[in-house]
Amino acid sequence: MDLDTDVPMEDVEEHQLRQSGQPAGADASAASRPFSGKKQDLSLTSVNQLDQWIDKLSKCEPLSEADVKRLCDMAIDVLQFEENVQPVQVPVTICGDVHGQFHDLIELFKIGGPCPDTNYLFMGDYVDRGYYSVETVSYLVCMKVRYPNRITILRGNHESRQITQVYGFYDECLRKYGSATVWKLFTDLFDYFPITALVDNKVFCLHGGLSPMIETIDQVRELNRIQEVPHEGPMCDLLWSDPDDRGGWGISPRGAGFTFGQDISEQFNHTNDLSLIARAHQLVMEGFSWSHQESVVTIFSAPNYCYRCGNQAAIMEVDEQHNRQFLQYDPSVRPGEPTVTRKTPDYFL
Amino acid sequence: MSDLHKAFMRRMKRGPVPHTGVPGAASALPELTEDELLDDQATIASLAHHNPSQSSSPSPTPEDDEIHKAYQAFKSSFFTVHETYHFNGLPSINTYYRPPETPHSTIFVCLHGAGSSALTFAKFAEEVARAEDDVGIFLYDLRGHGDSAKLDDFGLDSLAKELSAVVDEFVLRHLPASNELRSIYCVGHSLGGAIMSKYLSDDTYEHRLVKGLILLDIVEETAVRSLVAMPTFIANRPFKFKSLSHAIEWHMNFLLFNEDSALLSIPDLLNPDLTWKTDLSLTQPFWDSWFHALTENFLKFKSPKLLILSTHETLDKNLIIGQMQGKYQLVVFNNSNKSGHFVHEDLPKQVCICVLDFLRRNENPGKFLRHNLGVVPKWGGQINK
Repeated sequence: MDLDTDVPMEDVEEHQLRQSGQPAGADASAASRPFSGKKQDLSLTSVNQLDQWIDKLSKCEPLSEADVKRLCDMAIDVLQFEENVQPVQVPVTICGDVHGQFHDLIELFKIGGPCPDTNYLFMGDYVDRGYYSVETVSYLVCMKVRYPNRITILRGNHESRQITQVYGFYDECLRKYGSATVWKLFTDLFDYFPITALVDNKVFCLHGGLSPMIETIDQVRELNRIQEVPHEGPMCDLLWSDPDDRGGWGISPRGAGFTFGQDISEQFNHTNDLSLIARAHQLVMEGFSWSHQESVVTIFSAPNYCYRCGNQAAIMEVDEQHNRQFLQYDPSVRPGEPTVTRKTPDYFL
Repeated sequence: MSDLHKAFMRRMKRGPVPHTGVPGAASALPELTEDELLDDQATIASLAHHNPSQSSSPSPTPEDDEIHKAYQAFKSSFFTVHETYHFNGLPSINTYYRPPETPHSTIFVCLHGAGSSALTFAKFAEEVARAEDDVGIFLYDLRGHGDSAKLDDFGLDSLAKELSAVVDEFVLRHLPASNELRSIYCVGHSLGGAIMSKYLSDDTYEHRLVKGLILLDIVEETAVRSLVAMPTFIANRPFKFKSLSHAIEWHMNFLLFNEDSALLSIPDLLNPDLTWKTDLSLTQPFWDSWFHALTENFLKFKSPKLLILSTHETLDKNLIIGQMQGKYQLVVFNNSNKSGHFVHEDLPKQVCICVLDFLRRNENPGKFLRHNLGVVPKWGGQINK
């Protein structure tokens, strides 16, 4: 893959012999970056450390709290330099919601090919609902820091302090670490995740969908994304909206974001010279689903969601010629699958 | 909730952690203030002080008189219309109505669960009336509950038929003939929510005025599983209470967490001799029908839907799929250890804020966005309902 000067970072393995502290990709594009400061190269020690962590996490063993702290510090150094609309090159494999289903994530890498041999773009929702949110998000963040140019991780509506307190990640951190420190570290890190990506200037990727406040991709670039996912407004919409069969904008039944019709998608794609909007956020039984006459695709990568929904998962490969291919897969087979146990209330009439 | 969790939540309340809200998480709602927490502790302490089980004071105590007076005063003053509906072949039904100030405003029709009564919504109704929105609120007692007549058929179909008859009668009496502009939002707690879902999913009933459905703490799978434990619960509860304050204290021990609500809801559950008005054991033969197809019925209703859960996210399979496809709004109140199954009694203000936001957003999206969120769409035309 050719190095693109628009991309402020280069893969660590290609530069691990560089002297530590030397700025990478220090060029004209630095001036257009939204954040000050200089990206530091990873030292050989850090690379070895990351490889150890990835090895440990591959066995679904969580990192220690101290290591999570070190990892999150390293990840902030990487993610703060990414853009609101992170440029991504082809070929790339685009993935949807994972939701703490760690074993299915490992299955995903088997189906799609190992990272960094295959480039990946994840569109958010790594945590909540599944039983291994800690391992899942730790693994993906490790991969991001280790191979920053090979994997892109966007923010989903579940990468939020509020939502994770309701849907499981917060409780899982308490259970696995005995305190909320790790939850705090990760949710603080989530603020730095990019919110959209643009694949070869043609495929606009994001977790939710479009916003009536955002007509052009340049308007996404103007947002201040380093914050908790807001209750309303353009950043909220990008992470919450859904395509709909009805035309125009609609109020979302979710209570956040909007629904957008085919006319909206077509106008947005035309205005921004796009061929496709790729998004996640909605469970689709076949793992992917076209809407709006193939101007929008939904990708969902958590098979048998919540270990009970019976859906297939899918990922979408986009090659150098922008051909798209969907790979569908079922839940991974593993021993000792946790059974879904739910607390029964004492009283219910 | 673990001590650690509690300690952490206390820190979150005080702390500098950025805390803007996100839909779906009830922590978006106003946090309890330190003062409110202290008030609650004081209330619990005073309740312990008056613990009637440790005294042999005869009934009614002076304290009971106070409770009873306040309860009666609320019933007669807050709901300006208090009517009994009589139907052919159905039991007569006790209703309460507080009309809105202007004739075209929205009406909440609220329906309680089994063993409860209309006044479970007392504090919620007060909060609705206090809000700047002009919303009417209509409540009634199910057959065999509160002050409605008794009838031993508690099957879900019969209860849905009763709801349909009551709503038709209410519309006839109180919504003017030019009522096409009116909207009704149905608010159902527990069994009440199951009855409303049944009514709204069945097109043989006329319900075109109903524009939204709000369920309070009811999920089919959880409810069905919990019914197994209900006979023991009913067998073990007191047949009769020594005093009203004892009855309130009994409920406050495990079912209710807001004494202000309990002071209005509990007196409505008891006869003058402090036995239960509702014989729950008579309902047991019908339990199988109550929550059957609740999820399907809820999802089948095409208009806006809101599900509020009190403590945990306990969705069943089809509710998860529906939620993950964006079919309805879900709010879970899990950041407070002061809410249980009667979430509208425990947190009336927060539930009211949620429900009114839902109403505003769905009734007039453009206005809601402009006025409440300060959002003006930049392109693609107006925001449709």
